[in-house]
Amino acid sequence: MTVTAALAVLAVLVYGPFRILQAGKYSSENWLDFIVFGLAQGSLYALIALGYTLVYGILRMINFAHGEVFMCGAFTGYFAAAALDGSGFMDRHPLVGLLAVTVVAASTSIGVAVLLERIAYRPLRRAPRLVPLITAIGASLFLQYTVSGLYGSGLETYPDVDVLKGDWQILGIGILKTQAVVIAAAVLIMLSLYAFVQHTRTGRAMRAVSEDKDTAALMGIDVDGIIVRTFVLGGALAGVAGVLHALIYKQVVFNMGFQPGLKAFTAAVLGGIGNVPGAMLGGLFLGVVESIGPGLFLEGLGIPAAYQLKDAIAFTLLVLVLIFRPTGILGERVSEKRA
Amino acid sequence: MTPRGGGWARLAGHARAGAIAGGLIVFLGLVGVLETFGKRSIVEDVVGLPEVLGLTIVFALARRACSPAAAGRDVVGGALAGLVAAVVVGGFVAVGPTFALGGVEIRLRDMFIRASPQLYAILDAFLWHLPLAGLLAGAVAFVPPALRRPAGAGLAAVVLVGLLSDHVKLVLDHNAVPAAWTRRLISGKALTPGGATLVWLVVALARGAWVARGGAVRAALAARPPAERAWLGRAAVALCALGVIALPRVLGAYHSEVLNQVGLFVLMGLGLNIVVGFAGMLDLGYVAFFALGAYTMAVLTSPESFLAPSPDAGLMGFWAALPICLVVVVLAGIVLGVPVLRLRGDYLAIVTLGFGEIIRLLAMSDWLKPFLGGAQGLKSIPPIKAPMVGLGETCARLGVDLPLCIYRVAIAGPDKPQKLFYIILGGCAIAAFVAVRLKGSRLGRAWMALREDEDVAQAMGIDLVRTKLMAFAIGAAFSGLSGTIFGPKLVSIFPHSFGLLISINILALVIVGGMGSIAGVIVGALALVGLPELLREFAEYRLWVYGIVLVGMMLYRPEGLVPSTVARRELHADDAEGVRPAAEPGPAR
Repeated sequence: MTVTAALAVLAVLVYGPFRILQAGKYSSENWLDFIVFGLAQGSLYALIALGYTLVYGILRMINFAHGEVFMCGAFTGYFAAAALDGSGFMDRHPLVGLLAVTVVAASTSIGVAVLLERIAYRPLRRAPRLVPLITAIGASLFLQYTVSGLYGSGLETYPDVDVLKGDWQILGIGILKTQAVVIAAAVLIMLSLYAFVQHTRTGRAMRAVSEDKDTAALMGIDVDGIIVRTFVLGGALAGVAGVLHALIYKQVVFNMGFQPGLKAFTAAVLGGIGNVPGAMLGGLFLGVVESIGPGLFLEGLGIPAAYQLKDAIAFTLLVLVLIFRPTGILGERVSEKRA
Repeated sequence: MTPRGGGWARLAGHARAGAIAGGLIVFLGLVGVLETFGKRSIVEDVVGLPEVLGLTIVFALARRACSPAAAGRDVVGGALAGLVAAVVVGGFVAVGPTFALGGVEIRLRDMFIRASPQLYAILDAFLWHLPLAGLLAGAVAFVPPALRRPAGAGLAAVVLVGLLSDHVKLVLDHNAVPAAWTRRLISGKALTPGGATLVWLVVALARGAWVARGGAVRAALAARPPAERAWLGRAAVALCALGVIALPRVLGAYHSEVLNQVGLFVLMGLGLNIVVGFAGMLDLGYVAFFALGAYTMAVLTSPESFLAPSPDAGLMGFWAALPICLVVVVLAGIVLGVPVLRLRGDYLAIVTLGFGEIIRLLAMSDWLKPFLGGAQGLKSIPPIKAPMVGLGETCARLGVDLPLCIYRVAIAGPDKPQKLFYIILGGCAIAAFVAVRLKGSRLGRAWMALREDEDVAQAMGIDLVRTKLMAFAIGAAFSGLSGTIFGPKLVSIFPHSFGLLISINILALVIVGGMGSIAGVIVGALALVGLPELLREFAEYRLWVYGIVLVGMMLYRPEGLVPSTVARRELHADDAEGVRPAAEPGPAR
């Protein structure tokens, strides 16, 4: 039964691309553009997904409000950027300015993440599993509408950074500077995070806590402290992702965190939840599939306005992965029974 | 709480509580809650909603800080807390909307759009009442509970009635209460001082009587023979049912419409309660079945659908389409249920969420536009015609008049929302009956075993596949039924009406009411759907309040407002083992 279903899915997946490639609607440059855009989008997903995966690995809970942590960072980043732009600092020292904006955004996100943990999650650590998930949904709503109340519910536009206008020629391919910066920054951050988790004392402690909290405590690890540090790490990544997101899309709004949050969770599941390299790979993979998917898989089937179904592709991918390989691409690092 | 320390440590605790209260009030101001609430007063020319909110916050936090003292009697501490709160709020007001920091002029309003002159005026108005609230919090413990509780209940009732006073007025007008009387109680959108006193007296006296004599009444009831008690119980149920049936007549069209909305959510809540409350499977895409029910009904009955034989008539009527819709929805429940059978807990939640989004995106896409209308939705869904009206007239001609007369007046009457109410009520009654009967059945017990531990349940011989699919199918049927009524109620449906927020809304009402509790679903729907519907002017903060309610319920009362027996017992058993000390129920709450 499963095999038949898998074959049917596979047939559809092959037929669409065959038709569209045969028709030759898009040139190879189009495809490359799709892929680069997908990689940029995917690296944002990956950065947010890391926050999900780190927290899930340790607490076995979906931090549903993580998308809002990302949004809060992007939003305060906007105020910093607007202030720096207004005083002319951004034009004189664009790199320092961008860095300052990133620091402001990351600190806000860290603050929100830590407060979340302290107020909403810590008292419920031993509660049944549904309880913290529902709390997280509540916290997500609260954060969204708090920001909407404080700063207004309209779109705010980030100032343009002149250095990042235009594109670079890399290996003969024109790449938008913003996209290149986003991809490079994300890859750099992810590599350092991987090194951090693998090689530092804190990273080792984090892995130990995610393996078994009680034993880790017996080994002299301050479990509460490690959990807080995990939230700090996730928050910082989300804050950086917030600024990078703003570089590409230019705009922030109070409910901007929801969709990327959901996608990032999808990415974390795709890669195998609790698995750090998995979240990175899952994010990039999801970004690319989402970007080329509508053109490659759907238009060949004769579906009009296929880009409307971009999100549907992401969720279908999630459902398919969970049905055929519930542990994700790289395998999850979490066992259900220990949770 | 920290153990009782020295005098200074205690005072520091009070000061902290006051500072937190003051900070909260400023926060509420910046979020815009105070300004929005400032449009309403509770008692005309005496007290407004922002002031009630501010005083309540200070009172509650000061009282909590006072609780370590002997029975909470701590006038000095309470006053200190109130004073600190006033200083914090006063400091914010004194600094003002524009100030200089390190030579740079900072305009608060550039960032916080709600830091308006109105906000400062509102805060300034009740600033100096805050120490009084603190003082009262410390002093109130001197009053014996037999007096304190009725007085508190009376105040709560005044606030509630004051908030809803425009609706109370509407209902009074609908029932032909002389306008002169109404004017004495309610003026504009607030109670008059006289009206407030009346409400306070009635509720306080009732509560006082219950505090004094309630125990005796209960004991007397318990002493009756069981047969008589059962009879009394049935009489009470019948009385309630009569009251509910009379509701639309009493409330009028507008409030019946609100009740209808509540009823649709009760219906969905009862379904989700089976999936989440009984079987323990968290479904975040529950709105999918609601959408499916609504769309199937629209496609089958709307003259604009692709199935319609002619441009002025749909394929069939509501009652003919209903069974088809239910079959479609139940099948969908099973089809969507099969792939997720293996998933547990959080994964299930996310996959169902994904399903819900996919369904919405498909309904919105240009691809399915010829069938489902895309973003413009489907229009001209005919209203539900009460069944057998023709039959009723025939019978009337034959002379069997009386019961049919009642039927026609009550159900087939001319007012549309009132009429629809009975159809929704019927649906809810059937759903509630099914849920109650299932709960104790073999299937219901299998669900609960599944909820507690899947592996053990399987080892005990429970067919996991069948049990899970039954939960999905029955839950889907209730939600779909709700959807089929939703379309004709609104005449047209749009994909935007079926977003994730609906799923979260239903989940929230099930949680707030109490998972697994059927009465809880009704209470939850009234509180989370009915109340916001009546307080539309605060709609901006509806979801904000939802967030607070969800987090607060999980932290302080995870079993819900009307907990099911099992949940209550479970959580108390946990307390005894010391696993969940945070949820310890006590008189302090």
